[in-house]
Amino acid sequence: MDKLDNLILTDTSDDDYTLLMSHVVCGEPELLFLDALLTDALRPQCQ
Amino acid sequence: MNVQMLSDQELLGRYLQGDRSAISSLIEKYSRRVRDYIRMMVKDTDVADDIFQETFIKAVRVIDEGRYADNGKFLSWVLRIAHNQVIDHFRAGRAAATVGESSAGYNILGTMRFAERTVEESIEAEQTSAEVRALVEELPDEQREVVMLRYYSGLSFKEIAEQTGVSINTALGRMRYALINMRKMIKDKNLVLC
Repeated sequence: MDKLDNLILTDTSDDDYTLLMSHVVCGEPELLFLDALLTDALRPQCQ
Repeated sequence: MNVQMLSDQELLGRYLQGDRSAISSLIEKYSRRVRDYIRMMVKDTDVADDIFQETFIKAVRVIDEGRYADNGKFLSWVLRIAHNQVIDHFRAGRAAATVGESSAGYNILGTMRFAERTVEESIEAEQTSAEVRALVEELPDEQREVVMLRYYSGLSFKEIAEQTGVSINTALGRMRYALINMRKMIKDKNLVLC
C-alpha cells in the first residue's frame, strides 16, 4: 500500500500545504507560482 | 468574528479602516507560501528572509499609499512583488545566481518576465486570470478535475482523493502533472502572465 495512504492526516491547512510542497511542488518555484495564480484565478469571488 | 474566516478583501478593508491587526493576519495567512517561494528561488535562508521582509514592507507601503487595486488577487500580487525583489537581488549580484536553467531546460528568469510589469495594472491581472482559466480548460479531464476541486471548491488533497475515488498519492500526482502541463503550455504558447 502506498506509504502516503498510511499517513494519519488531519484536515488542517498545514498538513495539506506540506503535501503540496513535498509531493506537488517538489522544490520547483515556478510550480509554486502557478499554484498562486490558480488560487487567485479560480477562487470564487465574494458575493 | 474569527479573523481566519475573513476574506482577503475583508482584512484589507479592516486595515484601511484602522485595524492594524488585520494586515498582520493577512500577511500571516500567506507568509509561508511567499517565504517558501523566495527560498526556492534564492536557496539562501538569510537572503530569503531579507527579501521576505522587503516584499511585505513594499506591499504594505503600496496599500498605505492607496495604490493597491483590490481585485481579489492579493496572493499573486504579493508573489509578483517577491519575484521582483528576487530579480533585483540577482541583478545586484549580491549572490551567485542559483536559478538559471530550471528543470524544464529553459531560462526561468527569461520566461517569467511578467514580473517586471507594473503590479498595479488590474486589467493585466484580470487577463492573466483569464489565461490561466483557459489553460485549465485544456488540461486532461482528470487533471482539470483535481485543479477545480482544489482551487475552486477549496478541498484538501484528502477530500479530493475521497471524492474522486483514488489514493492521495494519485491525487497529488495528478495535481503535479497538471501544474507541469500548465508550465509547458505557457512556454509553448509563449504566454506572458502578469
